Amino acid sequence: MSAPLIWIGLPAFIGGILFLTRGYRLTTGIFGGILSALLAVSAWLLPIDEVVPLGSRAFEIGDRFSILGRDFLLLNTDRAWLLLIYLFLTMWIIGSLFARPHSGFVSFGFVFTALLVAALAVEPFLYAALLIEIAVLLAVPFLLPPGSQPGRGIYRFLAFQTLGMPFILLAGWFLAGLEASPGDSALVLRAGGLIGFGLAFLLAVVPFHSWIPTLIEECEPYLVSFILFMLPAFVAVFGLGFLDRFVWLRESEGVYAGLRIVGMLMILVGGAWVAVERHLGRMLGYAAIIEIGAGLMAVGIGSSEGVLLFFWMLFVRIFSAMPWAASVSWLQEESGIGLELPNLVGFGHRYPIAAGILVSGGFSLAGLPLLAGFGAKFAFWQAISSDSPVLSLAALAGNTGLVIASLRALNTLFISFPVQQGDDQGVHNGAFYWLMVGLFGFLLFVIGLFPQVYITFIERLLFVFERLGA
Amino acid sequence: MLLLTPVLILLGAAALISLLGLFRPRFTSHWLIAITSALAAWVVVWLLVLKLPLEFGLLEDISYRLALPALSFRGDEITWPLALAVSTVLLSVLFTDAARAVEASWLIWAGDLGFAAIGITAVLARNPATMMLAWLLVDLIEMSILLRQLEEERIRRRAVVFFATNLLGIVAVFGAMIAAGGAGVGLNLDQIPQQSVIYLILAVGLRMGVFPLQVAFLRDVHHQRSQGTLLRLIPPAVSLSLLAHSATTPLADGWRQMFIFFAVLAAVYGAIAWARAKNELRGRLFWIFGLAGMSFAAAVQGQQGAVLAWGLAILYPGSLLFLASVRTRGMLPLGILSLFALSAVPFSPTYAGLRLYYPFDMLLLLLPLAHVLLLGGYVRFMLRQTEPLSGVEPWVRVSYAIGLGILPVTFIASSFLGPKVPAAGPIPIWPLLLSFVGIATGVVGYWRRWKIPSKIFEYLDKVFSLRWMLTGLRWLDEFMGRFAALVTRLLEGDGGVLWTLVILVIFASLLGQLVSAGG
Repeated sequence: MSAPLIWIGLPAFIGGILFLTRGYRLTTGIFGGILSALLAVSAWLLPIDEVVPLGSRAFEIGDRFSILGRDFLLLNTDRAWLLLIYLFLTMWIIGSLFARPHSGFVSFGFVFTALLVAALAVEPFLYAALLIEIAVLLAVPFLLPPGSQPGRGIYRFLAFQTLGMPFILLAGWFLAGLEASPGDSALVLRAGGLIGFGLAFLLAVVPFHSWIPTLIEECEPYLVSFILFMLPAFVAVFGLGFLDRFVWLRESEGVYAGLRIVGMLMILVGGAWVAVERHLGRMLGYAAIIEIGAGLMAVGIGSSEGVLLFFWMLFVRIFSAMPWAASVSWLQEESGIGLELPNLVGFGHRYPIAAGILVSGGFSLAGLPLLAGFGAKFAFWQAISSDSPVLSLAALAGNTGLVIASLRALNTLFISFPVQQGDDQGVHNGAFYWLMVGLFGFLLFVIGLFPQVYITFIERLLFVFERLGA
Repeated sequence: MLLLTPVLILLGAAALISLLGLFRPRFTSHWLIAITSALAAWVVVWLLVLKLPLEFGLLEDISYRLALPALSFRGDEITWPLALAVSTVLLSVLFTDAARAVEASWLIWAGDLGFAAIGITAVLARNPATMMLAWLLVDLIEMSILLRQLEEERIRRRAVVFFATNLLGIVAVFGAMIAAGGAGVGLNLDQIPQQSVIYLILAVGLRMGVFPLQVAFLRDVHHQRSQGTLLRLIPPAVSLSLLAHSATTPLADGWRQMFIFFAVLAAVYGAIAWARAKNELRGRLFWIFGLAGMSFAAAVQGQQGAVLAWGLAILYPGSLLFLASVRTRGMLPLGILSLFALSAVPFSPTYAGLRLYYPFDMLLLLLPLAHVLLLGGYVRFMLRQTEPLSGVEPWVRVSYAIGLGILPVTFIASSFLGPKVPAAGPIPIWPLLLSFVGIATGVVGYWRRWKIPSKIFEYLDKVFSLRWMLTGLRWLDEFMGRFAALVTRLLEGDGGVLWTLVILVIFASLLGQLVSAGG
């Protein structure tokens, strides 16, 4: 038994099986959640490449799996990342029981995650671009509602993600040449530029971001939010791998300055747009742009603290972005009308919990106190300020856009009363609904209060990067 | 932990009252529990003065490579008077509620206790993280109570706008953290770097409604006596602690003049509107603006003691007037005692507030006028007599009188018995003389029945209420929306990919220059 088989092969297989049972939405969701949680727990408990005694016997999980001449390598230091990823998947699957997206969401989630883990594990690393492309292609049929034609968002999503692939492949070619002649500065510049462009396409860096709001407007918000959460997380870790591997990248101040500026630009653009946006789904998209920007700025700090902040913000984002996306989907499903704010006047009186979580999710992503995002954003503002206070203040201004957007949602959902009489009667739901809401609400509020409790776990993620995390 | 004992007492009592209210519907002694706990908390706050300075922290001893938010509290010469004021106002509200038992319920008393407990927590906050957490809790409780009580959409919207400006105040604290980081230090309330103080004063200005003046948002939101008084007075109180801390760091001259201008504007406009208000509850907002403006000016002048003196005047004399639903001739001495406390004459608690006029600034010449108008309005409302309390048991009268009397007595006693705030410079006497001239002019005007055309006030209201600013903000929002829609159409339309490439070229050339400049 090898680690890639457990955390890549097995999830892909589970995804396939769950696709067959997708008609039984609740059962599939519960089983999917349990299996994903088991994968997370196994990443926590099972060491890789070490002999584990089990009573009178012993077993060892190998770190390598070879297929078609390519290797997939998962090291013992990757376990924290695997734990985090499958924890994320578990949360998204639990959220899907509340949000009720496409019936194939659970199986898609498993296969998509497995492909992205494979992209990080594959050797040589260039094949990662191909695996990411396969994951993107796989997403397309799930994004399309049955019987509908693909819209502009899907085309553009596919186009920009596909454009990223040749840049990464070309970069690999140049990097191979660079190993032969390490002093060639022209080659360094070309390789760096290609990596930058490739990652910019994959991460939807401004101005390649236009597919995000379009896609989320056309497709199911929850499914798109899942993709917008997982894909940039993996691509960013993939990008961090470049920094970790190549000393000329890691020690270039220009790279970090560029990351800080691009990150600030994404926060500023996302913030300006989300502040005036009137579609709840598109708001989610712009929030994702802001968060990607914040991650880039954190890495731009240029130290292990920056990488730690990147992982910390990623970890707490699940407790804000997922409940927000779930409540947006819930509102869309229950209201039966679009997600334009003028259509949702007074809906908070009818669906107070979903609307409350929606507003809190936005505030949490903005890093307001009492909520999950507070601790990480508090540390983020302090850490980035010493490097570039002007960029930090610009980013803070962008981040304020998220506060304004949430206030706009609060104003629409709760302040006015519904036009039709009787619409302000609360909707009563079953115990399961309250269990989910209780869980989301608890995590949304508790995670931000005492980061001291879990920060040491986040720190273990730094071991994924041998040099960058040191 | 001793420091947070009053908070724990109040929260425990709020929880107990809530449980009894929910599960024992026949239980009728909720008020007794509320008043006992409030009295206990008040006594404990008084006793704390013997142990000052006191500190308490939770998880703050964990040092880490990143700045983690930790809870930290401090009782000192700045925070203790504010904590005492909040607990006194709560006690006064509960004592006087005995005479308004019909309007009250266990839910309101539990809410009062919880709200005051969070208020005390907020004033005792020692670091920005604790302060922001407590601020938001206060704001959330305030907004949820308001939204539950208000039904008119126009006024509900105002409550949200007020909440929004409070949130912007929190964002300004993040700005202060960034500015401090840029100066190479962490933001610490004990030693605020000069780069941060602008943001902190802006934060307090936004939260107190002084900068920019938020009359248009706040007017007519809430006109209740007991809980309404707590809801209106505790939010400014929790910001006062930061304002006093900010006063220790001098502002750059340009900023100083601008902030003084806004402070004087708030004070003068608030005082005029207060003096002309129909009744004290309609004027409550302007009372806060008037005195908050003076407190704000004191902070800009770097006078910690004056910030506290005028800030506490919002709470003590204000509460007396707002809670006095029954005003008879017999209660007049309490009003006179309160008026003395507000007068800034020697030996009164606001005498220290005169330090705000040091060093001298031309704009400050208008503040004695504001002071006179505030006093004039106070006298006007104080002299309005109502029907006496009738049909109630004698203990209700006693409770009511104690509730009102405790306010001026505590204000005066705490100014003598409390810890002294370090002061800079002498106390100027000229503002007091100017105030006397103003009072004399007012008395003559009243005697000779001078009339100021009401059109002037209407015009002033139009200009200084800054409603035009609200219109401007709406216009800006619409403009931004239209601009964003245009760019979105370009980027997401048929030619979107080409536009993306054009923008990319522009960005790449700009980025190249910025990166070569070192970011």
